[in-house]
Amino acid sequence: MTNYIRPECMPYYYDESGKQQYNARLSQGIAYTSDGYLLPCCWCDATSTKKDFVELGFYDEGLKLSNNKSVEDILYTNVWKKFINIIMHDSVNAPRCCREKCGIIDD
Amino acid sequence: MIDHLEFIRAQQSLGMPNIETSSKCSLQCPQCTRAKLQAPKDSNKYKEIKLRINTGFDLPLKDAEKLLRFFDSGVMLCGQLSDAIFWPDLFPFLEFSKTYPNKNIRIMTAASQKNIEWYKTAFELSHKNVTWAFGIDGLKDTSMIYRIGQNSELLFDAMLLGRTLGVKIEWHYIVFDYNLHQIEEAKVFANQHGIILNLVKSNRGSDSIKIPEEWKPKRNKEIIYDIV
Repeated sequence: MTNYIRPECMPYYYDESGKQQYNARLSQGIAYTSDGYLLPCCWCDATSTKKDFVELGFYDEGLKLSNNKSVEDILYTNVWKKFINIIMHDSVNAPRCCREKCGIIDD
Repeated sequence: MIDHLEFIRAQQSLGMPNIETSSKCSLQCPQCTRAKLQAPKDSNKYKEIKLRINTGFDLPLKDAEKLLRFFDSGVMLCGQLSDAIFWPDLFPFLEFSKTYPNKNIRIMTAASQKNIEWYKTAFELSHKNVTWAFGIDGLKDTSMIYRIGQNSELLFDAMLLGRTLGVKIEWHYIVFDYNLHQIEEAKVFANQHGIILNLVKSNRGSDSIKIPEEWKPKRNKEIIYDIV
């Protein structure tokens, strides 16, 4: 089971004791998909993990970039707010790709 | 709440988005998600990738402009499914990007369906912070072993042309068993022509195309930048 997530899309993370630790660099930028949506990173843009992001609301028609004036309009929505909260504080319920790519399992 | 705001702040100031410019590519790299097109047509794998490709569209120029405006560091045209050379609006985008000459544009490409004149036009439209990164895994005689369908010779010509025109050129070289012996020659070539050579530790190995043990990443892909 994933103990915590060290998201490569975030400048920092919380370790198992809840202490804030800094990532050396922000290595994963946001992804723009071939059907016009934004996702937290390109690892999330896979057929195998799409269901998780559909359920979280990332593929709601209102979040399509062409339906918004700016990238900010999308990133400030509750969908993104909720996602960040999950990966930072509720790793068990994080999307599969976040656990697989950025999850930390301590022995 | 703070985490969410910090995420947005960090992505805006430091992040570089990974942009899919279409769902088109001419290569048949075995570990690409497009390889599922080779699965039986009645399988879920085939249906899923077919749907994904069919629902994809060419990145609207307006969306590209929104992305370039938001991200301070610039943008990266790097497909999961596509190659940026197939984006019909690439040239207009490069023209538009001149209004943000301090923002980086990274164009990751491995396909080779254009001719050398096309690259000349593309390079002439590229401002000083545009980098063209070519995915060539080996030398002219080997890269197409993984990059099935690639005309590596054309891409080498394009890299050299880019350097002649003063464009920043990177060479992304995934190390496989079959091209391990060519690394030194690649370093010499890159050094001679002012090309930045990046060696890549990748998980793209398979039963038929193996990765040397020491070139397997610990976990996710690792890039050794500017090896020369």
